Amino acid sequence: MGLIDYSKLLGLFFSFLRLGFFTFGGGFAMIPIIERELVRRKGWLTEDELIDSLSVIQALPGAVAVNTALMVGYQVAGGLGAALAAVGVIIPSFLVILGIAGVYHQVQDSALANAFLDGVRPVVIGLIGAAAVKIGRRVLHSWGSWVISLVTFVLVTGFGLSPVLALIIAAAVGLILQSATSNEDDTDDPAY
Amino acid sequence: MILHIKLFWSFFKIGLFAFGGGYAMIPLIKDEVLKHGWLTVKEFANVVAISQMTPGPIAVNSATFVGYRIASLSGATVATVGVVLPSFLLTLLVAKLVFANQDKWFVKGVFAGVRPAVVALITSALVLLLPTSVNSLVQGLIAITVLVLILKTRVSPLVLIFLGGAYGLLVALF
Repeated sequence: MGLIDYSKLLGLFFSFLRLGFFTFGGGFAMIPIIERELVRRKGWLTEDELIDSLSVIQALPGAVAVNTALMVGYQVAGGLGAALAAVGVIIPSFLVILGIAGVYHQVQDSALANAFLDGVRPVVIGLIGAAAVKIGRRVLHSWGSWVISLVTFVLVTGFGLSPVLALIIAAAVGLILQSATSNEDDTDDPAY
Repeated sequence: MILHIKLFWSFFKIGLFAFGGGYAMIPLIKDEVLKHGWLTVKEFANVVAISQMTPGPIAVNSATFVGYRIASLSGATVATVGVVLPSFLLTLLVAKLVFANQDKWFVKGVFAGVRPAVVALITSALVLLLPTSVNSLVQGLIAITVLVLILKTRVSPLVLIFLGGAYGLLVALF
């Protein structure tokens, strides 16, 4: 780490500032946007680094959108990158909420905002679906990974298992599979 | 001043314990905000509704809204910083630990297990949002079209979000 790359820091800030306007649907809809802007267009991050960032984020407390900004910012440009990306992603919602809190009593009628969102919500579903398919294609390459994924889905969706617990269990299963099939010097990735 | 410290501390706690994101945070935020009498139940319900209509995570939105109502702009800033700070500290810590040991067999093992689980978590978020998002044939077609376009073309997701919103407005107005 030599000089601070100001163009990267500024780029991170403005990318996440833009993303901050589009974090409907709990943050996952951001994934295709980050993939397009930071992975494919700017090449600041590999697809695998993005997936690993997303994995770590799921185990941490806090909002998905903010944590994604922090982790991707850190991967691209260290602690300063994390801070700038997080500030960027928060500014839009901060300003919008300030605006609403200021004129709170006049905005009882939100018919237009609701109509707008009626159209946005299915788009968000498509974006989240695309994120799942893309990451799935990259990650689900063995029967073991399929089993982990399907069992996790059933436990979380069907039985209300907490995502954090699900991740801890999945991590333990991954560790057991890894230590059963390879030793410390082995560079194979048996789970894929 | 004391009010600002209280605001900061309450939202710091929310940020620290809000595992699971989104809807999982609602009870936690509600307890903290009602306990201090910062909002009424009805006001809190409105904050949740506003959060769904605006971009941004509900924890951040609540922090900004409550902070502003209690202590204006400085309150909004203090509460918002408070709710994000735990994520910031934890992310840096975990990132340092994880990415420095990426080649170790145990980190590989953890990721080998966690990556497929993340696919499942994203899919279950989709299932959770589905009933409130897709209620008509057209909305179903929109969702599928977006999925295919994102996977097969280089179209910008932001453009698709705008088009979706425009469609919603058109349907409501005509």
